[in-house]
Amino acid sequence: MEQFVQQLINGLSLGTIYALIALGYTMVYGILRLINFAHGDVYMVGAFFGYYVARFISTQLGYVPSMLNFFLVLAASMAGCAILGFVIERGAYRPLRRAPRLNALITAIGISLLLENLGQLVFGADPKDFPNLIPRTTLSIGVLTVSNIQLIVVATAIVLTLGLEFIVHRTKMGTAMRAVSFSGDAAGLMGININRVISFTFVLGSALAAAAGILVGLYNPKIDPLMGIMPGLKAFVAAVLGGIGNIPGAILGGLIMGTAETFTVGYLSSTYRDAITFVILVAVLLFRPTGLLGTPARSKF
Amino acid sequence: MTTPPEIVLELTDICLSFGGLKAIKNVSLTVGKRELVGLIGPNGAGKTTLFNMTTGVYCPDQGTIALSGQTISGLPPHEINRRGIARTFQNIRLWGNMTVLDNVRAALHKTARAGLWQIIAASHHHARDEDRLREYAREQLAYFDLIRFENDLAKNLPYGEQRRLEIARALATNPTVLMLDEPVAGMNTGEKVHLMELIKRLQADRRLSILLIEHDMKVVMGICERVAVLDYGEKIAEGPPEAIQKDPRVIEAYLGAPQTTAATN
Amino acid sequence: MPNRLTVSASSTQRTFTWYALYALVIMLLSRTVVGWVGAYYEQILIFIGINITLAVSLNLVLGFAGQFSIGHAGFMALGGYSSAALSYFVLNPALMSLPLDGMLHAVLENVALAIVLFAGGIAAAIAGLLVGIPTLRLRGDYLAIATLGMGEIIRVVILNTNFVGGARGFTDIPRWTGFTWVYLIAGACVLVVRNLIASTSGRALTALREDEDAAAAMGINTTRHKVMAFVLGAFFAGMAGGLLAHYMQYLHTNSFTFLRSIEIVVFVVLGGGGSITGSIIAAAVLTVLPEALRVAQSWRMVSYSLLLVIMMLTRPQGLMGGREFHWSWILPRRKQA
Ligand SMILES: Nc1ncnc2c1ncn2[C@@H]1O[C@H](COP(=O)(O)OP(=O)(O)OP(=O)(O)O)[C@@H](O)[C@H]1O
Ligand SMILES: [Mg+2]
Repeated sequence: MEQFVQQLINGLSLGTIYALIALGYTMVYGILRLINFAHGDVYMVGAFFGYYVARFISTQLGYVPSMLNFFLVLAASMAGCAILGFVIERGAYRPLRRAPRLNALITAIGISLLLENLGQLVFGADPKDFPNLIPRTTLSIGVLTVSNIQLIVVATAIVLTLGLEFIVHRTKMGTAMRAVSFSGDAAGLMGININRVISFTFVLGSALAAAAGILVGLYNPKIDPLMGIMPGLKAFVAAVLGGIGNIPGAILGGLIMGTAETFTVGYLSSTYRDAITFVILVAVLLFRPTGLLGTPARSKF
Repeated sequence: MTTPPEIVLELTDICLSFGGLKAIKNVSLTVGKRELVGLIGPNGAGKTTLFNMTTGVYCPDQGTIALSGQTISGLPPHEINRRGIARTFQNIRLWGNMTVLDNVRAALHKTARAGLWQIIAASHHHARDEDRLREYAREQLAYFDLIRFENDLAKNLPYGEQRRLEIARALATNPTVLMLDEPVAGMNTGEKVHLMELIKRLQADRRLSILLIEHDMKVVMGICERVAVLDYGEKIAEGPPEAIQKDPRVIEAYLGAPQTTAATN
Repeated sequence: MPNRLTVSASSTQRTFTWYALYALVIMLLSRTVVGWVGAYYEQILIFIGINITLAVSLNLVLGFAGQFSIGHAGFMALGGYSSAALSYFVLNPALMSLPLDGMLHAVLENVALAIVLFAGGIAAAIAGLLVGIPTLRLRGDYLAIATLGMGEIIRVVILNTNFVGGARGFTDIPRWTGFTWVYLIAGACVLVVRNLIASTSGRALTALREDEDAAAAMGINTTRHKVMAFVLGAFFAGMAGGLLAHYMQYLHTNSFTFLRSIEIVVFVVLGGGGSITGSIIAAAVLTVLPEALRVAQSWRMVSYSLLLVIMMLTRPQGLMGGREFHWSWILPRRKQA
């Protein structure tokens, strides 16, 4: 029983990271009907931005692990990835907006490969140690242990999600996003600047992915240029599981994916860690393609 | 009055809703053997939706659809086509990157007799079969005056020719009922008359039953033996064209403009 | 038209004659050119042949039927491992236990290879059937991601199957194949795909790619046609896996990740979906190019992915744009009657 609860805690904190990445997938899919394959790699770049900013801070200002340090790194990395997301959309996806979806999907795969390979060239292929931004302590509650890192990860994710909820439901831009997601053409006719909405969506999604990159750096301090592939896929599956295009669904999906993974590792075998993702994916696609929180719709014509 | 023809297609008490929207409400409709029936109604009346249900795209929430006495509602589209219903689409849906000839040949696929092994080994039997299909497809194209375009990509055809090719393709599946969704939309009057004559000729040559959607009342009045009117998902009138033109409910549905081409777009 | 009929009545003979001629050329080449280019270039030629088989078979699914599958490497893995298991555990020990002289041994070895390649193809085809029936209901990017998932599941299952080596890899597979077999299979794959797409069934397949709803409305059983293309594609991917196994003598699941599947997709897309010659050219060029760029190793993959993106932005129809290479492109055109 203790082991069960412990796995659950670990799974949920891992799940919040997947949830943050899944939000970007779900928002972009909702608006463009595009699986942004490069999203997982934006998360990788986010972790590396954090790595370099933290190193810069420690060499210029002296090394002080603190919450302030963490916030600086988080903000810088989110800003950097926001720009990256903007550039990717402008340069690669926008010209293909009216092209067949297959072309856009292949382009997304191309951008993903490009980021991975450029990453290996620029950052080096071997793993790097993510700097220790916050001194690690563990709290014991009975037989259970929770690290302060886990608490910070979960708290940051909650704050960011609430921020996103606010943007989507309480601002003009958020309303425009929802309108475009509902029907792009109609929103365009209503005078919404679709290009701006799409750019904004990429900026938002990429910033969240960067945050996930920093959090994973705290949690599991080895980063490398290919680290985005599997979490990217898992987050995508999380988005599909929750109901693609659905923000609460992405969070729910992320948490389920995280727990499914820790339970698989804990009770089955770590070699099935990644396979469980695909088993869930295939099961969802076959039995409930609209996801847990998605609404089934009549399609065609 | 002659005796009514034997019924080929029969829709009984059909309903369909999209979420909260009741798109089709208790519609019944019949098409007789070798009859040409017109289906008219303002925008959004549910005409295309009725076609989609008949061809298996949607399954009716209620009611049945029967072809020559056999229930077909609930069958998948390809099966319904095999039983003898072929259609065209309101917004042309040809196979754009295939040639004109190949559009017709692909539609002939169910008459192909060669199996996979014969195809892979390029057997004699298969080769002869292909020759037969090609000749047949070319005859079809000649009938529709499209033979000079046979090697052009379908997407490069002029608009009017695309409409004709869609009809040719539907006919290649050898239907007993042909359903045409606004076949003359977007044409000028001369082209409309021309295509309507072709449709009339088809009906005679091929012993077809035809159900035809059209906005332009004048066109329908010219060739249909019977007209049904749909408005807000309900059938509000049915009868010979002259009677329909005078029906007050139809006039109301068409915003009080019975003689003119009301609600064209 | 008597003329056309006489031509097509002899088409079976023509098909077999062409293939026999091709086989002869391949065997001649293997005796001469391949003999003196040396092992390194021979290996590149072999990889080209395997990649052609993979690209052309995926083109059937992706380029002609329009079904976006990123699971080809999974079928390749399955075919490779099952054929290797059959030769390693059954046929090779049997062959070794027979007291045979050189000539007869060589003949039997080729027969054994044909058997294991076919078995690998069939294993992959069965997997293709099992994967295809449920997933091919999905469209577009959902299908892509589902096939990716299925491919990875196949890989992880193999990784956890200990009797084929598991995480250590499958070693000591007999080396039964070389240039000749690789190109015989590649040629057969091209021939089968070509004959299929030039038939009425093949046109129904292309119609599916162009507009699936219209295809269904014209009586085309979309699921059946998709599954047929998928199974045939998987069959040849499985054969390609078998060839790789019996040439490299070693298999590891790391060679069959979805990145390998994506690489095959790139061959098809860059060559032009729906063009067999395009796939052949792209597979050849993209196999040689990385070797030629070996000097700039680190830039190799970067330029590769950049090429993909630029190609999509500037020439999305691929090198050949769905057309086939024809001799009339380079030879002076004869006047048409
Ligand atoms: N897939 C769908 N989902 C939701 N609503 C739909 C769908 N298809 C049609 N509708 C709605 O059903 C109603 C009937 O549409 P339909 O296309 O059948 O009209 P129509 O009579 O063919 O009109 P038009 O003359 O413009 O072609 C419309 O209100 C339309 O918006
Ligand atoms: Mg309509």
